[in-house]
Amino acid sequence: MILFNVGFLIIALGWIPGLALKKASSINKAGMISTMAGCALVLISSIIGMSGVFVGQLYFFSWRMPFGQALFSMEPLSSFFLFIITLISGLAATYAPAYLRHYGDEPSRFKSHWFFYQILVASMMIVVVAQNAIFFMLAWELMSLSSFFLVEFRNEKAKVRQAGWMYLVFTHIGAAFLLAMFALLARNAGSFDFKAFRESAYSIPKPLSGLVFIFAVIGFGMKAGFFPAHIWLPEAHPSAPSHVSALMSAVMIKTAIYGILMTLAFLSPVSAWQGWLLLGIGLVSGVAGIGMAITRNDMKSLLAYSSVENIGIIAVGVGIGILGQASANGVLAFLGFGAAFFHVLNHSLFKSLLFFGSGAIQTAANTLNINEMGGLLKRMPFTGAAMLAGAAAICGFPPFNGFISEFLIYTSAFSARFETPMVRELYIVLVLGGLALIGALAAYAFTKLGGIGLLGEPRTKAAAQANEVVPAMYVPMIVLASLCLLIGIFPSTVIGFLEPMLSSLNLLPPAAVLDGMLNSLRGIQLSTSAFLAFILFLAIVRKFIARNKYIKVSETWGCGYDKPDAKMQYSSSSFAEPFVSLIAPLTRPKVVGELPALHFPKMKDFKVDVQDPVLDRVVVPAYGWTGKLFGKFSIIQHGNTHLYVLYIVLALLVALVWGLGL
Amino acid sequence: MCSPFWWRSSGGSDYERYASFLNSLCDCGTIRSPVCGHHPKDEGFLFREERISLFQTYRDLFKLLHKGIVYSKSVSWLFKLAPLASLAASLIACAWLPFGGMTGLFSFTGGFLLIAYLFGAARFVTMLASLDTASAFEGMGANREALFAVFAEPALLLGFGAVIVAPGNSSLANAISVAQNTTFSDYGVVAALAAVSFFILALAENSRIPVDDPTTHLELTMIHEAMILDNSGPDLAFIEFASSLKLWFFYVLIADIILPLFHVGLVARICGTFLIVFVLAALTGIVESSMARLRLMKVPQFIGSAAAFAFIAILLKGIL
Repeated sequence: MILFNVGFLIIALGWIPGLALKKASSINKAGMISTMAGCALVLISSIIGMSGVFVGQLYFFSWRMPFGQALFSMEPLSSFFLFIITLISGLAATYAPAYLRHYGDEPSRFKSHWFFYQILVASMMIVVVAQNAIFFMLAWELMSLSSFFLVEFRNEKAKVRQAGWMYLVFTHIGAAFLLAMFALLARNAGSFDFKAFRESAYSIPKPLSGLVFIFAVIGFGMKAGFFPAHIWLPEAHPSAPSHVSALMSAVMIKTAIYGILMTLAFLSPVSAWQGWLLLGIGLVSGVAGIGMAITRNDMKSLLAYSSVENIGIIAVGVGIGILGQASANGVLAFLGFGAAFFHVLNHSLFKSLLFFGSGAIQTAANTLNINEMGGLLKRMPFTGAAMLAGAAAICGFPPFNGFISEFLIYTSAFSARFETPMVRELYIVLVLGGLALIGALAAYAFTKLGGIGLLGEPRTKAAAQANEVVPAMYVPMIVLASLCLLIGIFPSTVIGFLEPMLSSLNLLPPAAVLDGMLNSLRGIQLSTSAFLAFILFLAIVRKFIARNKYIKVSETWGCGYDKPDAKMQYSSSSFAEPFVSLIAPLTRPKVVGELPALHFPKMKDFKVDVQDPVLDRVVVPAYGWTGKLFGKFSIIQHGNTHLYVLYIVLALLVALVWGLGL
Repeated sequence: MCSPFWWRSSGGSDYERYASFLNSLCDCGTIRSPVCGHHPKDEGFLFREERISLFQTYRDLFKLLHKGIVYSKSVSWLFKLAPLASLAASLIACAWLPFGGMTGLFSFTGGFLLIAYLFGAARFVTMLASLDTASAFEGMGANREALFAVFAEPALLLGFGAVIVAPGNSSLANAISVAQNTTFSDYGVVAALAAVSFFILALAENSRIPVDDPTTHLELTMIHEAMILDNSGPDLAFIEFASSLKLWFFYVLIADIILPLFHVGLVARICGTFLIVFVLAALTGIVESSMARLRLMKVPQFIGSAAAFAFIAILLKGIL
């Protein structure tokens, strides 16, 4: 626990030495060192905490806070999220200085960056350990604000400012629902402490419990990026610096998943409809998120949409877990929540890897547009290889880690039992068909990212001249890629690592079931190892049989045409085109300009712009209506000072009357 | 003479490379080396063209293995990895597959998921490798493959769901042994629907007519073959062998689903598997010689019908 306190203080106050420094590079180094040191300490304490040694122990900051005390504790669940927060924050801090070098050398910009970065990390830590609703909300708001300012890093650009505002609006709508939720819970429990919430969980009336759940799904869903509240993600992530995108996408949105899991403990007997709701939201987020990802040409926007998909998969896991608890089916609950935890871990690894990679490409090739990339694997061997590994992992392909969490969700179909027989068949169709569809769409999106972005021939001069980034940037990626591979090959070890946490949440199934589960994972371990061994064996065979033969290097086959050009390759837009036209009735893409026609076409310029239907047809009009509605109130905002004084007097009078109870 | 097209065009119009016939059993039911043979008379059977040897596929593989390799200037290591990954995935899949009631080399709850995803991984690497050559044709092939996979993957998983998950079994081997002891009326309809679904998938996943025509001379109309235009020599041999094994995989899978209906002994089941594989190969030949390729935009509907069959098979479990 002392490790946590020291580590937390190092991070929360780590920006102070930077204030005294003058050079941008030394400010960055100071920020990096203090973040890494603090994260390392908290990482160790979180590993200890996951074994469950701090269970039931409450700690508090000696700070007089309204409505209670600043209580916190390190339950295994909190420790698990702390582990992810510190691991990714530490790696992102390692990556940051070399990446930030490309943003000029104005010291004040970096001072404020590290201030907000470390406040963000510290507030995320508090969010997952807080044991009092007010304390939680304070940390939650601090997290939202600091990440807002991090997104605004390049605020001289209008697009960045707009993205930041969008994020701020969404996160505050979410916070409003959370405040309402905590108010409802506190009225029932008589205190703002989570302990009181948990103790009164059984006394909570059914309708109230349902309302609290819905508020939690909306409030946390805004932060997590559930469909249709996902809209801020693809705006904010491309605007933020890459390590911040990694931190926000891989870690910050997961605190919302923590929030939902935490709220479930306040509503102890969960109902089946809650599980079905999350399952449905998860599947819709998954399909819609990854479907939109295919249409994106901006690499970070694609990754942001893929985060929507992955959050969807996590929500499916949580939904299945709730269904299991509601039908008193321990195996189903274990598989659902287990898959959700596993995917939280997996997604934080490969998504931060991919965001780091896109940042590396941005600095090396000076673009985020996949249409302007190509041939980068040869020019940036480490970044390219790590990103391809991340792409395979995020699609859920063995031998990488993404497969394991999807496997757990799929196998839940084996143990689903419901009262009505038809429901079980429906469940099987939803889980098998839905997840397979999401997987195939993900493969489409990441073939585009990997195949068009990293492989083939460079499409621009900048891409052709790209060079590998410095080790400080690619080593974190290699670490993450190796973790993805190791978890994929040895999944049963990770289940062992998660066991204390699952048992503290009463989620461990009977020993026989767990053994069966571990048996399956060992089967995966064996066959993926065999798969890799076969590849190695075949490589040796090929080497052997080709040893005396010619190995030539020649032009790519062009059907007899021998002057191939990089422009002839499929581009990011053309690769997406069949899918874009398939979903055109839903997205209604805007075509600007016209297609070349007839026998002697002239040069034509045309552009297909796929807008997110939610943004285009819901959010933008809603902004308009809200603006119009509140615009009506501008009558009372007329600029006459003496009338404003009158308002104050009136307000005081009303307060006086109300206060005296007249 | 090392263009990948050289040997293809030498085969002439009746050139056929796929379909499977032989599965040599090396050990009593556990270790098998699935070997792919050649179905004798795809088009020749109906149109009385020149017959070719049963072992033509092996001759081709042998020839390819003795050639050198030409790599495109554009490719990276990923291009060299793809043939290996394809073949390794097919080998693992065939090692897993139960044959004639005998359990595969390994079997565990959810093993079919691993196989489906290994095939997916092989497809992913092949698509990436084809984009690595910077060729417009291969990009087109990869693009179509990616789009059709969106329909084929759910169909495959739902097919397995109908046979394995919905009846409450833990693995395919388990499903077969359970089906051996159920009556025809309980299992027959589900088996038939699943078999139809898998047959459509077998055509789609193995680039057969009506989805794809691997023997066409026009690269613009290809799907799978377009992706491997730049592979040559042993690499091409690996890919060809991998796709032969994959076709074999689907045929034997269908046989595994149908055979338990007949409640027969082990020897009869093994013979029956060969018979069903032969019939399916002939059926593929009849489809190939009697119809043309579908228009590309119709293909999703065709593959979608496989998903629909599997969907109905799952729902039937709830009704029966």
